[in-house]
Amino acid sequence: MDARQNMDKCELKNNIRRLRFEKGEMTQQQLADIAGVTRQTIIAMEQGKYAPSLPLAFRIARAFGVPLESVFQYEPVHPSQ
Amino acid sequence: MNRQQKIAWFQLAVIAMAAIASAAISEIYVYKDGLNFSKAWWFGTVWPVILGIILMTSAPLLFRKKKGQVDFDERDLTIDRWAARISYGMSYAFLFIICMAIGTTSGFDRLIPTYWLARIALGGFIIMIAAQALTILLCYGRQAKHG
Repeated sequence: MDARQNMDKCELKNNIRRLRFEKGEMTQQQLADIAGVTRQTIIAMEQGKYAPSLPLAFRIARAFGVPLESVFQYEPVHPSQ
Repeated sequence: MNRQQKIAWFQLAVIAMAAIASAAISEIYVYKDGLNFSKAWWFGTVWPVILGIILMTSAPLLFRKKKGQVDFDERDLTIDRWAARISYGMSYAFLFIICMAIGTTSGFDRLIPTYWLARIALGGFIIMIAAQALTILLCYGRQAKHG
């Protein structure tokens, strides 16, 4: 299996929901206002249905005051998933 | 439901109402005034189409942005671009298929009446708007069900 095939079998995961609650139960609207996006986009990201751009990913990480890797992980997909 | 979804629903509603109004007015011209179908259709579609185009192009003014709130971001832009690509693709496919169908049935060296050109252009326009609105609604429906 070459490097390209390995890359294709990864997916973007995030901890936005957990981080919101750890950050004083921040609402989706509050996070959306800080990141400069709509609440629908935060919902779509939490559900794993939208992969944000790199600038937006950095803005979200900055809103939580954590590094990018703490919010987003690019992990391999297991065959059972 | 966000502003883009409201505009999309509005455009679909305008198309549906314009189609119903065109059909009703054309029927009146045929049965009351005794016009043949081509002329009745031509006169019957003029006002609903003009009104429909005015309403559809003024949709962004009817559904105004809320002040101080982000209502369009990178995800909306992505969906908007998808909808634009699909709608242009669909309308050009329609125009190509219609031209080929006319050429195949009537002969490629024949001329067609000018009112057919207006019908074909109108069909392409309606398909473009409808495809754009449907793509927007489908993309939002699939990507964020709790918005």
